[in-house]
Formats: sequence, structure tokens, C-alpha cells
Amino acid sequence: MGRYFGIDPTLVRIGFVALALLGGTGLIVYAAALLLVPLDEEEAGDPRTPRDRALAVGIAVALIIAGLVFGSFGFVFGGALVPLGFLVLIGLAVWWLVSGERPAGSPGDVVRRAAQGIGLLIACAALAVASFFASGLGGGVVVAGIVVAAGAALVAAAFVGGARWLVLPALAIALPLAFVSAAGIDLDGGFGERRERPATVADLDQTYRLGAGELVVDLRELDLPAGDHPLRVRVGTGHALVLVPDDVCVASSAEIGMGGVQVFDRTSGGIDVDWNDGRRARRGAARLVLEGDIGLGFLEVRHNEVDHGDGGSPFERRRNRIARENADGERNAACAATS
Amino acid sequence: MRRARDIDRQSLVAGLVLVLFGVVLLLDRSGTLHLTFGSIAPMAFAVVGAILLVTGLSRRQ
Repeated sequence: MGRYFGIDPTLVRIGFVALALLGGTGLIVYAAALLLVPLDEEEAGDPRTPRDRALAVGIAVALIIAGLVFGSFGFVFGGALVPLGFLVLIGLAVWWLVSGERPAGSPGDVVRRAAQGIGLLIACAALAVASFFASGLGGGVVVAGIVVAAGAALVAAAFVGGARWLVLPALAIALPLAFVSAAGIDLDGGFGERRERPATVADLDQTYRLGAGELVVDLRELDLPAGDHPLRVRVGTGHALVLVPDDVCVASSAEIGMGGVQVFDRTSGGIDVDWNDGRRARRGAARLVLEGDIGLGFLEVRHNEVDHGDGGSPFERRRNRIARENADGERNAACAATS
Repeated sequence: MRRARDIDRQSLVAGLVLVLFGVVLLLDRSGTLHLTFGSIAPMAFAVVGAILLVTGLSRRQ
């Protein structure tokens, strides 16, 4: 780049480091230069006109001034400049990946290629969303078949010039399907908020399921007789809350693709969570044998419902809630003591 | 006979890894396999990595 603008390369590097420290603009400009400035071997026959070069210098100077102005607010608060810069760079990178050509050229060409790249990215995002929902709603076999077909089409096209443009859409379909498969997300069962409150033991279903949202199974009104009572809760993505009376022991097992589980004062979380909390009831007490299946989200078992609307980020609310629950002394008290 | 350099290597490799990845996902969705994040994540990274690798090597040549 130093040779391109006729300055000492060391000065260029120092400038980028200074700009990177002053708000991160240097990182964007460096990445842009990596994509846009031609390599040494490409310089022969450079079609740029003096006007293009002057425009490029003008844009670089404007970026540097904007970086210095916004830099004092830090990388995060760099106004619209940083996200916009990243968006354009992502567009150019996509175009580069798909076309196999460096997106250098006149400013008009660069803008056109960035727009094409962003357009392709938006189309791929739409495909990814469609793939996620189709896979979660039971169409996983069909979606996997489309991935295999796209791969086969790419292999066939390789012998007649190639079809690189197909790689990104195929990945946009395959990766969400892989996520749904790994998490075991099943979106069957509806969306939204559902509250089940069986009044008698006869009303208690063995399975409650929800595709996405919040499912509350409130058993506190039930007078469960002594013995085992199986209950299965399935949520594709979201939150499942099971509220049980104080005198009921809960033995629980759960498979959670990504998220966590909290049964009274015991918790676990992460990816591929395999939860097992086998408990025996005290003599004469009822035991709820709970089996949870959550793709992406949380499973909670509690005696008392807590107020979630205490402000802050979701992580802060969850942390506050866990602290409050521990203080409340939620315990699986109807179970026999474990050794 | 078609010469090796006439074949678009990026499309060929990307196609082959996508076919393999698709077959594994197909087996999972049809119930033959039971995949978790622990098994799928390395596979997904390998697919994306192989495509990026062959893209980079194709450009170099």
C-alpha cells in the first residue's frame, strides 16, 4: 500500500496501529486495503485513472478523520461508521469468495461488488432461516436431501467450468440443519406462551410439548397420591417451567442441546447437557418422574413462581433470580435423603 | 480426455464434502445416527475449513 500511495511502508503500518488503538478504525481500513489494493504482481496494467486514485485517497483521509473523531468514544461507540464499514467489507469478502476475483477496480466497481456481496448474504440469511424452520418442523430429511443434491450438482459442475456461487447457499442450508440436528430441536407443538394447570390427577397428561416459547406446567393445585407419576416435557427452543407442590419429590432426567437445567437448588448448563437426578420419595410421598427434552433453552423445576420482570439484561435477570431462589431455600424436600 | 486443470477444483472439493456432510445429516434426521454438538461441530468446521482451504489453494495457482 505504501508503494501504491508513494509513501514509506513503515509509516503506513504505524498509522494503522495508531488508528487500531484509537477506536478500531485502523482494523477496518487495513482489511479494506487487503481486499481492495492490488498485489504487487497485479500492478502491471492497472486500469485505475488518476481520478480513481484521488477518490481513493479522499475516502481514506475521510475514514482516518472519522476514525479519530469517533475513536475517542472507543470501538463500541464508533457511531454508524464501524458497523457500516464491516457491512461493506463483509459484502466484498463474500463477493471475493464467490467470484474468486479480487474486488479491486474503480470505486464504482467496488461499490457494485460490495452491493452484490451483501445481496447474496441477505439471500443466504433468508435460506438459513428457512432451513432452520423446515428442519425443526420435521422436514430435516428433505433439507438434508437438498444439501446432498447441491453437493452433487457442484461435483457435476466442476467438470463444466464450476459453480462456485452455489457453495455459499448450500452452506447456508446445511449449517442450520446441522445446528437443529445437534441440538435436537423439534419445533412441533406450536409457538408462544402456554400455561397448563391440571386441576385433578385425571387431567394430568403424560406429555406436554411446545415448539418455541415458554411452557409452564403448574401442578401446585394437584393432590398427587403416593406413588410415581411420569411427566414428559418437550420444548424445541425456549423455556419450560414445572411448578410442583412442596410435598412432591421430583426425580428428573433431561437432554438439552444447548442451554441449562435447574431443579430446585441443583443446576447444570452448557451444550449436550445430559441431566440425571434420580431421587426416591419419602415413605408415603408422591414422586414426579420428570423427563425433559429441550433443544435450545432452559428447563426449570420449582415450588414457587418468581417474578421475571426485574429489569436488566436476560443474563442479569437470570443471575438475580438464581441468587433469590437460593435465598428462598427451594429444595427437593419430599425426597428421601441421599447418602 | 478432460485434463485435470480443466476441472474446477473448488467446486469439486466443496461438492464432495457437502455430499458427505449431507449424507451424515440425512442419517441423523432419519434416525440412524444420533448426533450431538460434540460430533457435529468438528465436522461443520472441517467442511467450512476444507472449502476455504481449496479456495485459497485455487487462487494461489
